[in-house]
Amino acid sequence: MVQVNQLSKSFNSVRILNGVSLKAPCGEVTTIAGPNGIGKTTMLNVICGILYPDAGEVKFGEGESYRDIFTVLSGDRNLYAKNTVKENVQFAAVLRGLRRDEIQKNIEKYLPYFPLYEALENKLYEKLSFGQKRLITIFAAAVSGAKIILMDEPTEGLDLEHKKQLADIMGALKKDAAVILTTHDYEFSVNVSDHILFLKDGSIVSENGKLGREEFLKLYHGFYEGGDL
Amino acid sequence: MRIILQECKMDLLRAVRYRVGMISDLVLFTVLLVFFLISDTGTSFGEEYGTGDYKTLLLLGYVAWTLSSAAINTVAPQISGEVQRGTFFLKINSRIPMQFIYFGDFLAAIAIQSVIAIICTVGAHFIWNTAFVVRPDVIAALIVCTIGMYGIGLIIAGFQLFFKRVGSLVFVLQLGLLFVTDTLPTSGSITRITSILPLTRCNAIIREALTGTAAAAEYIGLLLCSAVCFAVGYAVFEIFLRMAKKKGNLLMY
Repeated sequence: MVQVNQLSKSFNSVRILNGVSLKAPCGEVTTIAGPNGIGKTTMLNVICGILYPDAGEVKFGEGESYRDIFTVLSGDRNLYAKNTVKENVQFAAVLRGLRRDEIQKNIEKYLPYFPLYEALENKLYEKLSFGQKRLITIFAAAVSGAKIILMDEPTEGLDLEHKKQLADIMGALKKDAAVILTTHDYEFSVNVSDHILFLKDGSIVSENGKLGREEFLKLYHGFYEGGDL
Repeated sequence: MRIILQECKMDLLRAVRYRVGMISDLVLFTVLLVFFLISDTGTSFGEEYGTGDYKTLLLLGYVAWTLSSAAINTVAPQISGEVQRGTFFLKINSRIPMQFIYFGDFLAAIAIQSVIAIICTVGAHFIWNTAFVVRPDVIAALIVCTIGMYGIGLIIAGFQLFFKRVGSLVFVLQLGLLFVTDTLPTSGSITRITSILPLTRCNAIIREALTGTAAAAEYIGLLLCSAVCFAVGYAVFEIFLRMAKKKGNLLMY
């Protein structure tokens, strides 16, 4: 579980986040949506601990800490280019303290959702297509047993078939973790999310930090039509 | 420990796959050693340590320097690459502190550098008739020294985290160590100052060990010096990591 309380962050006196609060429990997918440059990625960076906030705090569930987080960055720059898929997946899990038998167990558990893994495991990561790199990184996140998975634009570069596959994966991932993602892909976010938070002017534009799916679509269309939120 | 070993394994595999990097290191260190041996550098070591085999003494110091160079130049370039590639995010949430994870990279670099040192030593033996020195006390001193120098590497990596580009600084430091740590004959007034570095102490110990004049107190001194360097490096890295997180430097490479 991740609980963010009154988070604020500025860069060069430009306020990016302005007292943002949210709660992302285990067993749910929470989406942070909003247009470019609104602070979605900054929010993930603060949650994962690579960026300290100016004010506010990030709290985790009992027995959880920053060390239970796996961050899937946007683009294809998540794993080591000159290592194989298998080496990368194992390494990500070892970093989280998993033993060899636990890693194998997790691989078997998530393999049905990532059928491409077996065909790619001995390939160098750099040899994969963009979409394959994205999915393999998410597979690494799943196998690592992270209790909090952050994903920045997970559907970026994925075709329709892979997006559908990713939607299934989200369902499997959230059983054991709190999943927080940012996206511009509103159809995808509506399909997979339990909560959608809309970020505007550094704040969450929703009641109680939550937003229903229909409400979100209304908000999204209103936003892009220039409507007042 | 498993994390450190896995990091070491990953880095070794990458080094093997990027063969050119290893080969260029081998060429560079061999050419430099050949230059020193041909130019008769280090004759004063013979007088200082009371032996005619000054080339072996020079070679020993050179091996210590190559290992120390690898130790100080492992973490900073690795971090620079990782922050740009994004793999830094994997490690920031690891079970153990980053200073220990990068110890795996240090081990990989030292393993590769040891192979290069062995090749250089064998080559020097056949061409210049230098002695093979495989003694536990010398090897122990080299290990303790390189761990201490890794601490200095952590200080540089801390600067790297905050200031982003320190490549030239590392190069100057590596080159500087060659001339101020008695790797090449250095005046006593300079080595008295640089004895705060494990490499200076190590150079003295391994040469004295060869001529049978090393004292136990010197080993203890090296051990303490290395421990302090490691502890300071660990703390400085941590401070700069926090400052970089606060300023957002890790996101804007």
